Amino acid sequence: MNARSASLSLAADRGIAAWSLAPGGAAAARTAEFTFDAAALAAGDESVLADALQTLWRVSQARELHVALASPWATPRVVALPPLRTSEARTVLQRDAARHFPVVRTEPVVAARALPHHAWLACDADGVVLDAIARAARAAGFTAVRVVAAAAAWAHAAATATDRAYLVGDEATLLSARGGHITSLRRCRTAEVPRGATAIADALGMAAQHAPHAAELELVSASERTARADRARRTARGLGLAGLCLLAMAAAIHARGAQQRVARIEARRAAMHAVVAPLTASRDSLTEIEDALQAITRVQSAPQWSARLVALARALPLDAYFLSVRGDADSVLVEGRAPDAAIVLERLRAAHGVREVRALASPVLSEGPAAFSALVWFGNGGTR
Amino acid sequence: MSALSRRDRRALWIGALLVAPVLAWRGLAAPYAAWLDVQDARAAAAAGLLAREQALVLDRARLPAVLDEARRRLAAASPLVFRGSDTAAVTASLAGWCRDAARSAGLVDIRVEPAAATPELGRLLASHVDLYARGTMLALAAWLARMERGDRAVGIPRLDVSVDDAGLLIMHAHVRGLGAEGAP
Repeated sequence: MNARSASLSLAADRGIAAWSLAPGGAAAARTAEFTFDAAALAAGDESVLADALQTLWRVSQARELHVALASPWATPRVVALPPLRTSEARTVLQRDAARHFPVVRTEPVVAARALPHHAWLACDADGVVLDAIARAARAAGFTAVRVVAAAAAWAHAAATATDRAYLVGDEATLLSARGGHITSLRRCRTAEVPRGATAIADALGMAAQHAPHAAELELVSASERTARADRARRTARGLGLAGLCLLAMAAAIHARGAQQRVARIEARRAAMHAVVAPLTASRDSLTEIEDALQAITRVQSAPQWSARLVALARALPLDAYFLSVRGDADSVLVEGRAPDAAIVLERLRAAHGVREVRALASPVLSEGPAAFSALVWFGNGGTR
Repeated sequence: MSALSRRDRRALWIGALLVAPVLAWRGLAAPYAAWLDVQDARAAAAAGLLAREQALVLDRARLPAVLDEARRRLAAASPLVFRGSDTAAVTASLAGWCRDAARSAGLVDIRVEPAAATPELGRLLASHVDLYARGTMLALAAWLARMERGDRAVGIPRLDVSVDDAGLLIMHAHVRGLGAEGAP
């Protein structure tokens, strides 16, 4: 058996089992109708479904069982609620189930989805019945059970349509859907179905076939919700631990890669050592010799005072003379006397190799030619 | 924990959630990142050395000729360098040479004061002396010409010249010369 899905729809006292040989394979779909004791199921006796579910599991060998509950097991309707989050709306509806739903349940379980204009699509069921179905399914061999309202399966069947009347017994569910989701829903007697609506007589069979694809109004009992939360927590914890382990492994692999990169380079250097060692010694000798030669050149490129003094002396007018000359790497401070210091400065500026001349404050002498003082910069340092 | 209220437990959890990333960063991530930086630096340094060594190996055929040429140039420049058994002897050699040059140039009242020597690249020493002397302009020019002739590794980084009452030049020169310890 290569079946991939098994589903069930339950009405007041009869049900339809459906299975297919390939996922979504309508051509291969099979259905079978059965009856059961509704009162016993309402009381939580799972044995009433045992035969049907065991047969279904045998023929389908599916992992998961999809169940669509029609009235009276599930009662879908549109209710008005203030703006709430979905979980809050579900809590409110579950707490006041007797006020919002026509059937009194032992353990009310509610599914809800917001519609436009503060309307909520809601559906109730009995937790006792849901748990009984789950127990029966697991006893038959299924490992997972998903229960939805039959209206959600019909919405999937309708895809996008308006005024479809799904008839089960003497009850009709009148709904419109868009993209497999319910947009409006109303329940009425079969005789009250509007004239323009499209009536579908085999609604229970359709619910069974489309239950695996229903996208909303999933009915989850409190125990199943707790179990799911536990599973989610365990999964999250496992994923977190796995993430940390992967992070640690990635860090370790990266660290190992970094170490190996250094080791590879060092190994290549070690392999070349015998060849490189004498070459390195030769290169060090060469570097040392070049350093020595450069140092000698540097010392000899110190200022060439002969050239500087000759340049300064040639620039000096015949009636002027220096009293002192003090110089370092690139400048010379000259002090002297001249009848006209301005001419001296002018001629110093024009002297060979002089880059700049700046006059400095000079003492005022009582007799003889005027004193001058100037700082002379040589363009190339006055070197040879 | 059971004695704690729900609010207290939530506060503890929030505190733990705030502290845990800081501890994880300080205790694990930051040291790991620092270690990775060290490894990267080591790898970069090793790669640099490897590249230089590979370049050296590729150039090995040319290296002996370059080294021989450099040795020839150094041998040619060797007489320029002042020699001595130690640093003081090198400085003394420089001082003596400067004094002799000043004397032969005609300068008088010569005084030479050695200064501290400093190490130079290529196993050389930079010796310094301060030379004080008096003389005529011609003597000064002759001395400068002797210093700048280029037959010794000397330079004059600083020179002061002034005139005394008798009309003679008073000179103070700071002379820098390169030397080496040991025989030429």
